Amino acid sequence: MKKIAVLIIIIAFALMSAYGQNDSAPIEPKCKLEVEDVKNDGGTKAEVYITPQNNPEEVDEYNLKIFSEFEGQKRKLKDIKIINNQKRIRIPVNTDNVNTNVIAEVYVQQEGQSVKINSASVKTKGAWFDIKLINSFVAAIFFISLIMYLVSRARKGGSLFVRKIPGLEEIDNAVGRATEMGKPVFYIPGLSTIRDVATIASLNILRSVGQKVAHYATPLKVLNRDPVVLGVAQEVVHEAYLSAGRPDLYNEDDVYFAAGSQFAFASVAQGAMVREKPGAVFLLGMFWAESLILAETANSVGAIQIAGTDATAQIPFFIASCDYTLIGEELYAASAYLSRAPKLLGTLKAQDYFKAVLLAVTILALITNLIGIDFIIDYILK
Amino acid sequence: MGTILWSTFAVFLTLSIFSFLIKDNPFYKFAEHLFAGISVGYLVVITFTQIFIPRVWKPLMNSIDTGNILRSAFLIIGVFIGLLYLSRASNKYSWLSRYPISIVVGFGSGFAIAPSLNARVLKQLHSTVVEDGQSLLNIQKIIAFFRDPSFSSLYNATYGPLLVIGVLVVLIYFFFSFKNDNPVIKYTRTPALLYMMVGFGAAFGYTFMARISLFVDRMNFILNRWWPLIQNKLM
Amino acid sequence: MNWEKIGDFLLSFKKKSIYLGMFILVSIPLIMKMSTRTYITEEVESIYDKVEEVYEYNQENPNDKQAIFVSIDFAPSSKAETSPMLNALLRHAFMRDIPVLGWAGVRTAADYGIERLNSVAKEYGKKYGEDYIYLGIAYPFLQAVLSLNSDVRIFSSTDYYGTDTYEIPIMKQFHSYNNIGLLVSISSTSLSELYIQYSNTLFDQDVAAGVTAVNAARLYPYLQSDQLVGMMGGLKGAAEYEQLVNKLEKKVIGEDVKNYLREFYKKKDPSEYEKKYYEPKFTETQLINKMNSRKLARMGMSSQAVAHFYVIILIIIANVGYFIKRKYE
Repeated sequence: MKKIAVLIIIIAFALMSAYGQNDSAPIEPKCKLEVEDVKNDGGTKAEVYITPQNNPEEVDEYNLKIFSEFEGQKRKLKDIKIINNQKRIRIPVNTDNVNTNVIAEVYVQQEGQSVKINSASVKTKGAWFDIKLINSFVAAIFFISLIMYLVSRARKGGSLFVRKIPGLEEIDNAVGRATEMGKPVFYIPGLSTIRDVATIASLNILRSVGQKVAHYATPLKVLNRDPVVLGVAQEVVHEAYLSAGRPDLYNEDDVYFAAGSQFAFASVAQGAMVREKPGAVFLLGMFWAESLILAETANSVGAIQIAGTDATAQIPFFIASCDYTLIGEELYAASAYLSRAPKLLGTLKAQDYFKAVLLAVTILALITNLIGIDFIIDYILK
Repeated sequence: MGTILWSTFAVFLTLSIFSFLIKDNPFYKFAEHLFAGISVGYLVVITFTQIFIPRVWKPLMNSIDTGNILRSAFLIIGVFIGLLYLSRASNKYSWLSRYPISIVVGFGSGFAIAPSLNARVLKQLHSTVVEDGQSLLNIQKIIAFFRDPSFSSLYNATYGPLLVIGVLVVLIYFFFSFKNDNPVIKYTRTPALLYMMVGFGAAFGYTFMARISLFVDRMNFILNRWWPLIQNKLM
Repeated sequence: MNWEKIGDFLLSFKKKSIYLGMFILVSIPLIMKMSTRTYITEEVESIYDKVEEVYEYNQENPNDKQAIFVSIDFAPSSKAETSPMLNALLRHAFMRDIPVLGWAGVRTAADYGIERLNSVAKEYGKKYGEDYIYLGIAYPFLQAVLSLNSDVRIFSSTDYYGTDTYEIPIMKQFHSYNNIGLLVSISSTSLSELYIQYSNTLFDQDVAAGVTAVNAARLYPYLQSDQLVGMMGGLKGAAEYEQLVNKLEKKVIGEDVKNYLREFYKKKDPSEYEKKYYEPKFTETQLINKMNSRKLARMGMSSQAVAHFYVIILIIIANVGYFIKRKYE
């Protein structure tokens, strides 16, 4: 009986002391705080991770403050309440400068006071090389070396095959028909400047048209909008007539400046077409909203029209109203085919090879993706 | 009063331009030339006040004031190289204009190559293989169509394969290294043209919509902004 | 029956009568002030959702707000399609108290852009320099886009009005992609593609575009590849966004917007507002214009729909005529 009484007393004491301990020692607010620099960026970003380590009953919310410190200047970036759900939370941080100290501090409310329980910091670093774009870098290097190799091969006289564009024989037909009807040929090398690839391609085709026209002694009119293009066009036509052995037929005034502004040009060209009734009209180069005005007028005077542009929005109008249209890249290909200029030929060939590689990679990616291998789409095409 | 005057003038110009639909006439010519003249004048002024002053003059004065010699030197050198463009006017010194051109072109292409390759080629091909993490050649969707043939399951089943085929045949269409009678070129030509024509048709429809919008806006201006103004004044 | 004559007749409509028909058909819905309801497409709704996302983020993080960057890349000559988009987008942002930064991508947009910003800001009592800012022309364009990655104040040392950008309050927090939740290029040019190419590809910035219908077809591939958050194409896209914003306005402001606007500045101290940007009161004409601007695109769409029907019928007539003629010739 005594023993039992002693036991009860001991248990009672133990319980009381346990209770008393609970009462006197307060819970310790804890959390895990990680501050990490974002790799592979310009050097301004960091990430803060906070993982609460108390039960929600013990601490229901934490207060996270994030500061940036650059050249001694400390600035508060964020001041966030983190509700304790015992999960790891990611907070992205952006600073304004590279090499900034990002400082994170966690506070908890205790007895009406905010108490700092944890802090961490990191210095942001900038990367010299953007790993994310390495696929583009490799592709660019590959493409550029392809161009350089093929251009140099074309320069050395290596044979580079380019197939004939179906529209090209139409050029001969058009010039031939204009000659039969005894009507002039009109050529408009687009409305853009000499810096536009389409303009350059068009001027190459103009050379070949000029030779044919000179051969048949058919009058040729070239209407220009840009003064620099005008100068080049005059030179090109003159040279074409020379190479065809008919420099006597060349008249500088036939290659002329029509107008500087877009729609003024369109109305001048329209007027000229209505007055002179050309047998063939070439609209090759860069065109904008005036495309339909030009094509429709040429159609109304009964001319054969060959058009070509890389302006996607204008191709439909040309297709609807012209006899033959060179679509997009066909314009460049036609110019390379006709001029045989090494630079153009080499570039066109390089594009072809590059396209072939991309096509192969895409097909491979499609197949591997179907069987569950994502290597290509994750690392090459991304 | 000023508003009415200017609005009426705008209406007059709009109608002058529309009058071209009947016949080329002096009103149209007047409006066209006025527009051309004003655009050039406006651009000259805006270039001076909104580009030269804030981008060159003010920063230069600022950096001289604060003694930032490096920055002012950069600006002065930049302006000097830019001015070399004007050498085109002289036959003897026009070669100098190549310096600014080479800097602009060099920076422009160097800066553009990697991102444009990424944005316009690689990412586009990526989305030819997968969309939202799912393969475009999704056999499950085709099976789903046969199990439950409906309009939406047909769309789901064909959308991906049609897109993939379209990209491949159009890419092959612009392939110039094979002869025209090469079977790959020969048999993909018609489908490629078909795809392109559908694309051009869509572009055409959109362009038509744009042109009509311009007309609608002008008519809206005349009927719903200018006319109420006149009505208020007269009544 | 004389088929050949019928074919000839079907092809014999004079251009002038076709124009006249278009003129009359487009005018009727405008005179009747008809505005259509349109269905909402996914690409427009995703821009709206993204702006709402920015709003919600700002609500949760009042110390770390995100702004919306608007690039005004259109000349006033294409304002018919683009201005309603800009209007609707700015109204959405201002209604949701989202800071707005803007510049002009093309030179001809310089003055028009600030005029639009001030005009819409006035409807919501937003203050220049605190709630929105306009940086003038982004020239040279590539350098401008690049500078947004670090600090645009280095590139653009003054704003449109010539104030030092380091002294403008809103610029202290918002000056780089870091604090831009969404970049929207409202464009009649190809600049929106350049934003995809640089801002999105290099700096992972979310980009959306509002483009004229001519450019819309070209941007669809970018939507499919998720390089664009969303796109408003032509007047139709503008009408959709307008409809979404009007619905939101009814929820936030209430049914009687006109009365709300009429009373708006009566309760406020006019000295708070600088007259340089806008006059803090609405005249009756202005109120009518403001109300009209809320259905600008949708009003245009009713005329547009009629015009499209008209052209479809003309295309069918001409094709039938063409086939009959070819068959019997």
